[in-house]
Amino acid sequence: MSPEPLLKVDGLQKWFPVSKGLFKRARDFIHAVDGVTFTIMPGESMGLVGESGCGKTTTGKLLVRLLDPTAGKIHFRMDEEDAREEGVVLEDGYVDVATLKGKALKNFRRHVQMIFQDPYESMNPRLTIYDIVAEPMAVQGIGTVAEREERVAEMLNHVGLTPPESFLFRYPHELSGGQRQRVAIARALIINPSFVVADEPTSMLDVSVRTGVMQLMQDLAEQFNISYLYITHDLAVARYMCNKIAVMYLGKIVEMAETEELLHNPLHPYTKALLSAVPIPDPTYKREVIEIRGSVSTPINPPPRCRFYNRCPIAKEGVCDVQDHPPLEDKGGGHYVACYLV
Amino acid sequence: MPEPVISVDHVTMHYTTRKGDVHAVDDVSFDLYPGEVLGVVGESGSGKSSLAFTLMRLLPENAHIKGGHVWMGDVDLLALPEEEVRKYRWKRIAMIFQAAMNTLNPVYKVGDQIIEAMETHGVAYGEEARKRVAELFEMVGLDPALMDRYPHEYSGGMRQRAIIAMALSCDPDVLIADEPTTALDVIVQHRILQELLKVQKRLGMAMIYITHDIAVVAEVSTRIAVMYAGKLVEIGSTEDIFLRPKHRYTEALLSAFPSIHGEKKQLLTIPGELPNLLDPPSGCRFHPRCAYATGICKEKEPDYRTFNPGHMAACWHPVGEES
Repeated sequence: MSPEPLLKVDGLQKWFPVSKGLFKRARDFIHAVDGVTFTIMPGESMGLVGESGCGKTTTGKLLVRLLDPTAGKIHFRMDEEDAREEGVVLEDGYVDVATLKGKALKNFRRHVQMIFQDPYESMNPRLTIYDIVAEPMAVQGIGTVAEREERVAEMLNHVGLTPPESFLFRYPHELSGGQRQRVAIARALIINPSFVVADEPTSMLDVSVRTGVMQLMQDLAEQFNISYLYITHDLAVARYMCNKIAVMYLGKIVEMAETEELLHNPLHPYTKALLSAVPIPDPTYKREVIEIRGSVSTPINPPPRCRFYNRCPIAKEGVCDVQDHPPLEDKGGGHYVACYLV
Repeated sequence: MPEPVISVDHVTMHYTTRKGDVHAVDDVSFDLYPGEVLGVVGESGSGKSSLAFTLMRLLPENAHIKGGHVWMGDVDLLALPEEEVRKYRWKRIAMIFQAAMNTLNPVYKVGDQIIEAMETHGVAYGEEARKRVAELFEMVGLDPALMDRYPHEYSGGMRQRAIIAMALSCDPDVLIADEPTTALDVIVQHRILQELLKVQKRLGMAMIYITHDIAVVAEVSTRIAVMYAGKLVEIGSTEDIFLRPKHRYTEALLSAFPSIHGEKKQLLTIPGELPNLLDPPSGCRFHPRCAYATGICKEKEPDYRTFNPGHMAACWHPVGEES
């Protein structure tokens, strides 16, 4: 495994305008993602957790360029040979995804894919399973029809939809939620991407079916050396799927560390509150609850202070409210925290 | 043993569809005692919500109660004519639904909707009802000033609190909560659960808490009933279910559930898919997915066996009795 990161995200921003009228220029912006920086190694899987509205899905969509960033860099590592073939200019072996356009952007999509939350809405109900899974190949113009058929059957085998012949010409409505999510995984992996954004891929599945899909995603990642950005609100699921976890709050990463380190030694007051609210499936466990005030707001033109200031149980006046949101700093051993008081 | 507030006695309910009968609730029995929280856990299609709607007599037209009784004292709720049911629904048994968004009418003030509910059921009128809404709001942790606001001005958590206030407005003996926190973020979920339990204790109400989340059920319930494919497969105290599960489905469900606490254990995968209730499996309904299934599991439905006082499971090869 090369020690170079697969993905280097630096100061990524996405602001959405809040329009006040049809012809008025927007003067207010929702800072959905506001200066997010992290790296993902080849084969590594990073969890992005947080409550609704924290910007985790927006971040995922930016990385695969389903949204265009307002500012920031997304450096993606690419083979020189691939780059030459696809007409992409490399800088130290990296392409800046944020600036890709046209043909180069389309070619880049061979390397990244996305798996969506809702297996009932992410598939065209009029297409057969074969059409759905083969679509990325068709879009990218890869292979002949015979080759695609063979590849789809192979992929269905990989995701446990066996025998493939019994699934190829069925429609999504004939499959259960778990089977559909397996189809979604097959579709995402059919063109051998090295990076996959998975947005809550198991949150709609029942417990007894969910573990199988989680296991499958891990096995395939290992087999094909895929990196995941795993977006979830469920920390317990993230524990099983991710090597490291980043916690987001109102467009900012407030804490990032190796999974077990983050769960057992959380440093940021928001992470602590979040962890203490997660229900534990053990009636004998008595935990200490950290209460925080209020609820998540929308980051429209946030004032220059810590985003968590008005809810923070340890906030200090004159420290946290007089300077910009604290920077994300390494507090030792790759445990990053953005807090003035830690 | 005190008298149960509700006694569910061999209730069977089917939905009639074009493709045939869906066996949604099949021969389910349990008692609910005053002041307790009974957690009902199950996956989609286990019949947990259908059971709740049966108890409330809020079933769609294609639902047919095939048998059984729901006793409240010596009255069988399932045998009552519709006009009589109204005396019980909301006043004796109330329910909180999953989709808080859709429960409140968007064009009326939240407080007025609760007042209307009370007036309809003859609980309180006018100023008195208004005063009671203010009390209820305070009880569930809402600012009473919010009663003159509209639902769209509320956040998800606030709406769910308002729904709880509404369910409590007629002072029911039993509250059925059907996944009330599923759509909420963990921090809000935690607060609502605490609030709900506080109110439940204070009013000495019995509660049936329905969820797919066994972590939540571990936190709220005193007893747990596990449902699978329309059947109640195991019932017992929360400790019995979590520490000494007997049914193989309960055991598998517990080992498939991730936790952020303690050692990172290997998660177990349950093979196969949830059964189709148009044509449920013969014998034990879990047998096609069960690692311990033998011939008898396929042929014959297991009877309930008592393992501990109040701890029953219907399994041919219960945990701890490996053959």
